[in-house]
Amino acid sequence: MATNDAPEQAGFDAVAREYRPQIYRFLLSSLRDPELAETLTQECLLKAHRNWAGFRGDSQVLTWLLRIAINLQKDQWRNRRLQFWRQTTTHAVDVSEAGNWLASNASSPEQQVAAREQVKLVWRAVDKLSGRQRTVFLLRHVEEMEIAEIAGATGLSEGTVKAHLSRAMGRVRAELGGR
Amino acid sequence: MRERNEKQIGDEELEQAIGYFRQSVTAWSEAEAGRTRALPQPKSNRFPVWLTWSMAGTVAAACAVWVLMLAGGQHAGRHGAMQAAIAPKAAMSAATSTQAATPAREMAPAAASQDGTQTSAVATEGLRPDAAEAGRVQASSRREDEDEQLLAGIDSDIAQGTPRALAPMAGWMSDSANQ
Repeated sequence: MATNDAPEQAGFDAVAREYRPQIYRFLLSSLRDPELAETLTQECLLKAHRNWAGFRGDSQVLTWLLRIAINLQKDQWRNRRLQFWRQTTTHAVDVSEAGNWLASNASSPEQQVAAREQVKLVWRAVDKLSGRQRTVFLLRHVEEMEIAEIAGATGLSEGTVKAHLSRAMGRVRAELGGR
Repeated sequence: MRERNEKQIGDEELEQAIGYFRQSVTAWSEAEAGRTRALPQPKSNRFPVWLTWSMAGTVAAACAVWVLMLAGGQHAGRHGAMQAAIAPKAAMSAATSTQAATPAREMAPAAASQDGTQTSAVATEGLRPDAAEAGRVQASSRREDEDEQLLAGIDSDIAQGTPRALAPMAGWMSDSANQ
């Protein structure tokens, strides 16, 4: 994970180019809506650009960017809840459809089928998680962040992050075991 | 139940499933990020200048056609109403002219036929109110002339001795007297 040694020297363009895929991946996995993930990624980078001069480098750039992305996502959830009765249609991809994406490095077709099935089960478990549990789980197991980094990005304490992560893992384990 | 499920799968299998999930999310994210998105065009570029002018011209032409149609409809309605108002008067004047022309034809065939032609022409035309009025005035003056002519004829017959109208009766009386 890249560290923020000299944010003043690194131009914001380079930072955005480097971390954009990770922000988009996190938002896509969290929202399952490519269009919305793209929009929020743009908003996140725009907000980061506006506050770039005020970034002191106390945390890593990615942690700081993900914190902005998580806050935007929270706002989005809040807006979506408010807009529920006005607009019930979303562009979120179905869990089974999201599970079809798989890197073709499995050795045999049978293994690919089994892997796809496992991915769908994990997606189903993630879909049942609460917002915080999902965020913590995705940051830990998709973005492969440390507990301290997750705590920095979410604004939660490390103990709370561990508790959310434990519950999320229990849910995934139960989903995989109940097939 | 949950504990039983958790026991059913091992940590290795859980790690494998989460690994596939990570690969799946990454593959999906890369595929979505690589997809070219249609950017929404700004409003100013949505319609080119020539298209805007041609649209304005089309709208103006449509408005002009609509106004002309409306004016034509109003004119036709007014014309119809005027015709409906004139028709009874024209019919009445035609009837009056025909009544006036009949004795004239008996008294003076040449003049009556000429007047009758004129009257029928007025009755046939019968569209303008001033023409009908003129016909009516002409008919009344002609009637007065005919009355004067008749009276003059009677006076002359009396002056001659036996009125022309009583000539057959006078002849019969003279015959019976001779017998």
